[in-house]
Amino acid sequence: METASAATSTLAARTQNASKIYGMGDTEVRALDDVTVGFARGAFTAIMGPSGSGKSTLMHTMAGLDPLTLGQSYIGDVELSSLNEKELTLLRREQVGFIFQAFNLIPTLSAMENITLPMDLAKTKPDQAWVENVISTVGLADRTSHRPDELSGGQQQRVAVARALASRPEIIFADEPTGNLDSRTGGEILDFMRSAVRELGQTIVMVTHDAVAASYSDRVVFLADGKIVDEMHEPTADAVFDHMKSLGD
Amino acid sequence: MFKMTLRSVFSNKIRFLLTALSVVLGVAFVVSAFVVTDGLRSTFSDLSADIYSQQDLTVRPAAPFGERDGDLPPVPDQVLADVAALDSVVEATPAIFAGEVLVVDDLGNEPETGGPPVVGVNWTGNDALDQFVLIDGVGPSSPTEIAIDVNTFADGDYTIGNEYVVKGPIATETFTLVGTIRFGVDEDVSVGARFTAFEAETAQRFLDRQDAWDEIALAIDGDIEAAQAEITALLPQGVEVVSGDVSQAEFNDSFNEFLGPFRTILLAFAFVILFVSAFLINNTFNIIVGQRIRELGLLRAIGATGSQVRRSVLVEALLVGLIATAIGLGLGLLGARGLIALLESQGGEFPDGPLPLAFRTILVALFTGVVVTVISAMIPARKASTISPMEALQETSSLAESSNARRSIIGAVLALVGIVATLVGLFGSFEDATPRLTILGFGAIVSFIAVAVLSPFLVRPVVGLIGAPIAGAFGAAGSMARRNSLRSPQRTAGTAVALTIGLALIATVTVLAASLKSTVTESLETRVNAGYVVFGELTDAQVGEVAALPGISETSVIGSGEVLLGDDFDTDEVVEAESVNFSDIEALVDTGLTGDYTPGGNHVVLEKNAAEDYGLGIGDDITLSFKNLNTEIFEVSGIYEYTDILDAPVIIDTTTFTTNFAEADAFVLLARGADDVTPAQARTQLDTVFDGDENFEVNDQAEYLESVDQEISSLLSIINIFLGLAVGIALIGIINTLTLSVFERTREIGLLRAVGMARRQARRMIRWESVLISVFGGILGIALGLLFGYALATAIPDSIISGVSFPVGSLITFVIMAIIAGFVAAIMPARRAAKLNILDAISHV
Repeated sequence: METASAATSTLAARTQNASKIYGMGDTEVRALDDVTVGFARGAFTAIMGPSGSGKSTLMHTMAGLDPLTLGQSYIGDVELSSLNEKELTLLRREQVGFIFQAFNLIPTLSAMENITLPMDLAKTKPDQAWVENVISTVGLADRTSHRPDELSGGQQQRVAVARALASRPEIIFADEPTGNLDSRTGGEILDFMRSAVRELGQTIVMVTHDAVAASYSDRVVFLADGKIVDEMHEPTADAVFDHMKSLGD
Repeated sequence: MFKMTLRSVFSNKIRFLLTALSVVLGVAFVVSAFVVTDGLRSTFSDLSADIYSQQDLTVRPAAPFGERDGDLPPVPDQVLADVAALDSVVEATPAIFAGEVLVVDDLGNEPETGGPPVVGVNWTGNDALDQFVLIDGVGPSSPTEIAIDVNTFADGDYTIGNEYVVKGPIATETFTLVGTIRFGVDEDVSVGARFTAFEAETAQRFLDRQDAWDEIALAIDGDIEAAQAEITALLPQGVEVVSGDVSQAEFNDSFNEFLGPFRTILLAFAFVILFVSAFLINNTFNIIVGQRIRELGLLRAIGATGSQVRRSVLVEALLVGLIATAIGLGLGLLGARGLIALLESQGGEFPDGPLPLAFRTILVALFTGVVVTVISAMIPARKASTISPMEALQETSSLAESSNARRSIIGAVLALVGIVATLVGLFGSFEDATPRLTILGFGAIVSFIAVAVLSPFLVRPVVGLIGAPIAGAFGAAGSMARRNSLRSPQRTAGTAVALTIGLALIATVTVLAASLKSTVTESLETRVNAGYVVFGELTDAQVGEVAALPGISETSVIGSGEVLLGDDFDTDEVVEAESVNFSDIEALVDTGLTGDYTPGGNHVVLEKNAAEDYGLGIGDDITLSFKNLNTEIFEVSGIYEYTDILDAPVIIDTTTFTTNFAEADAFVLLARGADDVTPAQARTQLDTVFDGDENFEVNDQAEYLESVDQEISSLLSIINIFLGLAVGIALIGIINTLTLSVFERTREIGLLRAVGMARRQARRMIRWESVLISVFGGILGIALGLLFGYALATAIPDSIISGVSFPVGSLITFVIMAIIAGFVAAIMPARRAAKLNILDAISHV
């Protein structure tokens, strides 16, 4: 397994012949069809594709939220299907960060408490200097004691980004993180995500169908009908947009 | 994590309060029960310590068997003389307590009876030994003088120096009031008892203690045990000497015998409330977990383990339980004051003072409040722990309803266990009542849980059916209401089950009461020919007067007391015997007799089942012993069947009764009008004997029936008031569910309003959903109640309940109550639904 060990040095997460099949017989749907893909450490990757292309499924299975039907999925060099429910939870807690489109925060906790929640759950002490660094990077220094309902949508997403970064995970998965935001606020969030990768050395994989959002990434992977159909490095919004049109979105 | 749980508890205060309220009530009941009984117990043990602290030894009649009661022959004068003559005896103070003694005041009123004892005593002036102190005037020292206690003096219209008519146990005479007295040297320790004091010999005569005393208190110089041995040696048979400690312990025991059942009844109600609360809490937590599903999914996604999520729900329950217990403790202390006030309004009087909150009470409260809450939240907590992290990513998600197959298997097993236990409890043979009640209680609890598990299956057919007319009558709002209550059968059933239990208990009790009433009525109508029944402590003089009335043809008095079946005082069985006039009874009551009542005092009549137990028949001999140590052999002359008027295993002749029982009080007089007078005339003559005296209840047959009826009804209403609390909790449960449902359906209601549903219609939709839930619970409860009631009525011996009768009117009332409960529960949630701002509602996530 030379290739595997070589891969672990550079890839934060990868899949090998991953398939996810829902239903059986006539109603069988292949959400993922024999996907092999890797995401480089320290890079900002976007997964794009039309609705139903399998991009969310790819993310969920890679993050250990949903099991694969066939094939393997790795975080670092840990193969996910070998883990039981409890081990998966611990893996998510320690090595994976999440940013969802909406409902990212626990409404009863303050911004700061939401940010440190994964560490609280793991009963570990947050690295105070790092957390402060993250908070100032996302520009929330004066908002940490606010409750989610006292924050704007953009501020809430920034808290979500900060939470994902706070535990310095191996990889962060973001699912349409700007889907609910206006374009200016969305742009700010994407700036923060990009600077987290560039300045703080994090790894982020983002699912989106917004060409502008994808243009903030280092690399775009295109999915259609559960298969990887193409990829693009150093994308621009126009190039991505054109490519998507060719996929028939 | 803990912080989050804490916040979650306090972020929704109303939900929290409603959930906690039911536990608060249950805990308050438990606390009241313990605090009041602890308080009374310590009051009475202080009291007995006061009374007996100065008495080194007490000489008193010995009970050869059974209870120490008025049937023991008193201690003769000679014993007092003998004991007082001993060197070791410093002081010997004789005492009489006998009742009732009523002093008619200046306005012609008598002290109230029926509560604490109203008795006559002898005045000794020795307060160290008998606790009576003079407050005003002088002590009675001549045969015409009396003193009365300060409470009677204060309540009535009395003046020292005036003459008063005094009604005693055997005669009515006139005395001069010379002073007031108090029971208790330092403070009043009468606890509501009323006293009239006479000069010693007058007391013996007027209170029917010829040359005898109820007991003699002794102060001893020197070694008490030696003195006790010395005295024992010179006492005649039937008299004993005991130490003050023994008297004190017996006094406490006799009081505890009364307190025990009192506490048990209060705790039983507390249990019902907590049991109902458990369902409410379970249902509320189920709904809460369902609503927080995305939040909990998010927690799982970012790294909370299943057990962390489960723990967070349990900790929330723990907090609810703790706070509810704390409030319940406070409320329970208040409730205890209320209960004391209630007892005082019934004639008791208790020294004020802090009610003791024992450490044990706090532990029991914590245990019930916290454990009930946490256990009830266990299933929802387990469900919460299985929520998948994927739920955080779903647009809409709801908690999976648990599998029907598993539910029906668990339900069927529980139902089987419940039914078997109930049947064993009802029809099995038990030596004691306790194991029977335990098994019966277990059976009822398991049956109720089975109903809770299985009732979701009934929601579709039952709610569908009763919802149809509502859907028809109230258009879109009506049919939405019907569909909403069918939407989640588990939630509808879970909400209704508290009401089901409350109404099931009420219906059970109501069926039993109705069956009891009809049994009594039937037996009175068909078997009692007496025409008139008088209740009260009858004197021989009164009985003689009634018998002499020209308008009355036959009379018989009924008395009762304990007798021993045999002559071995240590091992033979003690049973209750009733006395009747053997020569007259048959004309007055049809006792279903085989054989006859042979007068003369040499014969007894046995109850049919008892005769079978004893293996005796007509013509056989039976040996009976009495508390005067007399043993006689009787011949069984007849076997009778239980009636409401006569129910003892052994019936003896009045002659035997008066010879062998010291007090031989008759408490029932049966009389029959002569053939040549109208009922009205007979009644008028009868009334002249008792002259409107409140202590005697003169009833003709119809009045007697009515008084029995009323007695059962008032008992029923007391029970139902307490069970009504369970229904109140059920109401809270419905409010809780509806409030949560409205919140949950905010978007949906907003949408309905957007497409044209009027506020009124929104309100109506919620209201009818509430009524459907409560009527479902009500119908189920009533059906269960009928079943339980039927089973119980069948299991209770025919002598008490011979047939089942279903009180249709009451049952209809219960259904109407359920409908009203539904309307009331819907008020707040419906208003909330109607007030929703359409735009906010639609954008609500």
